[in-house]
Amino acid sequence: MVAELNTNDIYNIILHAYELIAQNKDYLTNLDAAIGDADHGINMERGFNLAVNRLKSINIENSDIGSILTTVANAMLETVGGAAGPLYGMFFMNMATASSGKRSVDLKTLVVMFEQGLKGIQDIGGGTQPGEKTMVDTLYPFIEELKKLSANNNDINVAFDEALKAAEKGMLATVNMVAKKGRASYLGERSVGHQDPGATSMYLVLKAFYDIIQAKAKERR
Amino acid sequence: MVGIVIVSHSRKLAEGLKEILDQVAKNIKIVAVGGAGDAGETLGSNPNKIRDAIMDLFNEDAIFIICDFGSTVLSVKYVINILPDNIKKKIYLVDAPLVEGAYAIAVEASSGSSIDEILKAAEDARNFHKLS
Repeated sequence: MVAELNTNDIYNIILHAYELIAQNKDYLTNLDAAIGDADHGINMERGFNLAVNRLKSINIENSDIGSILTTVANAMLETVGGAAGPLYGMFFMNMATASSGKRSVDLKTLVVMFEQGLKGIQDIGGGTQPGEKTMVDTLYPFIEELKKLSANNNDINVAFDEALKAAEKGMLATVNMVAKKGRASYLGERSVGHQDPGATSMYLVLKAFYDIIQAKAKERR
Repeated sequence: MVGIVIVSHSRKLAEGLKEILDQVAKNIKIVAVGGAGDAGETLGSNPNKIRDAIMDLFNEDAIFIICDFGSTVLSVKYVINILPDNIKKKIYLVDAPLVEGAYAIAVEASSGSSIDEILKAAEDARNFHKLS
């Protein structure tokens, strides 16, 4: 049973997200080459790299979760360069606001954080909804599942296990979608058959949460 | 007075457009911002640079922002989101093609038109025909 995530867990999640993004850098860039401008992996790696470097130079014990996530948001904004910069910047910034001053968060707070993160993406993305072949296709079902499971359960581990499955399904569903946003939307029907790079990087970010939560659960057994 | 911020993926495109507008609107402050990285050395957008560009015009009565497309629009929307309310309320993000829209804003603004008139001229730029 994992009832809460603390500042150090969030720090480890960001370090792990960087690892996953770095390992999949070429994969993300190749996905983007098919329907975008072939830089998503490179951009995301650069953003997380800066975030991790900055986090390594601060005292995590004295930080709250909001300030960790603010550091990530600013790094994404400053270095990513493409549309992913403001989108992930907004995502992490809103998550940071929802966890400002907190050194630990329970499942219900995590739900609010992710909901606010999604809202940020939708606010600047022009009200992006599921089905438009974007990162929202991964994030939206993830949050729906998380919300459902948080109603009568406090175990973060159980909730993220189910929610990540929903996220993966959402990501894979982008293959058959026609892109409605971003550069891929210029391709129209020709975007069908390609998995969305933003949906894929979002999956990796959510998987970083899941992996660290799993590790924490095992420690406790 | 009115200020204009031009935002492009390319620093050269933004600066080139500013050069054209400066010629027709000498009395209007125009700021060009383009590219990613600290000096716009690569194509893309840098929200911090966009924020700085907007803040350069904080004394103006109205700030018109016009972007090329995609990530520049997202970056501008992000920046507007984090600006203080007294700046935010001066901002008009224009939905128009970059060159024609910016030109329309500059011409209208420099001749002292109202904000509504400038906005209308910018949006009308979408239907501007150059061959007839």
